[in-house]
Amino acid sequence: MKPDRMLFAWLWPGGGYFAERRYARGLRAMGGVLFLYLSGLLIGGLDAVDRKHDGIWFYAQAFNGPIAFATDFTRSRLSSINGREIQDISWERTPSLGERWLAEDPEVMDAVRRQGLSHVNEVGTLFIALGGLMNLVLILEAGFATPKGAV
Amino acid sequence: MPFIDPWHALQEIWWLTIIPFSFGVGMVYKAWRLPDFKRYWPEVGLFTVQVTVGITGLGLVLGLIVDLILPRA
Repeated sequence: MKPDRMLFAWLWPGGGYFAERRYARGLRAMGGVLFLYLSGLLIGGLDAVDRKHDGIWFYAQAFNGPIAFATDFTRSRLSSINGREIQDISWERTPSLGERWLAEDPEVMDAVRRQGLSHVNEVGTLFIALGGLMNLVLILEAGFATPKGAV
Repeated sequence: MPFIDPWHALQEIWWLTIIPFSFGVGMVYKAWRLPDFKRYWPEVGLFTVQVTVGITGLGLVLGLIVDLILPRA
């Protein structure tokens, strides 16, 4: 077992291959995982990565590496109103927020607009989760497999 | 804003995302699996077609079962 290679592979997609100087394979693997990741973000927006409200999905997404945590952190910042995430706010108990929404307050409207709904949220979440699971294969390869060729 | 806000225009054509989905999985799978990369992109293309056709076929079969067979059973 090579834990350092596994760490590299988790830190950045394809990192395990780069640590072994197998750049051609690493670039292709990195391209694939990042393609899935960026496609998920393009489809579902930042809301496709939500550690707090889509916790089980995030277990798979976390295998993408620190980029998943950075995305979740950014989402929580951009989806907050007065320091609280929009999904944790009770609109019934906060009538002033409803009034701001009706008045099209930019801060409230931006946070609402960033919420993914229905298929778009599901597909975006799935793309990123599957990218994480594909990266898990690469992490296991980096930790346990013996390189057979030079490529 | 792309990559920040959800792309809600895809709500009605979400099923088309199976194509980039298969392509991305194929890129990683073939990078991991192939012994060399002389035929990398053709292999990724073939994988994309195979997975897209396979999952579309499964979807059609499930649709037939749910919409046609089960209501008559």
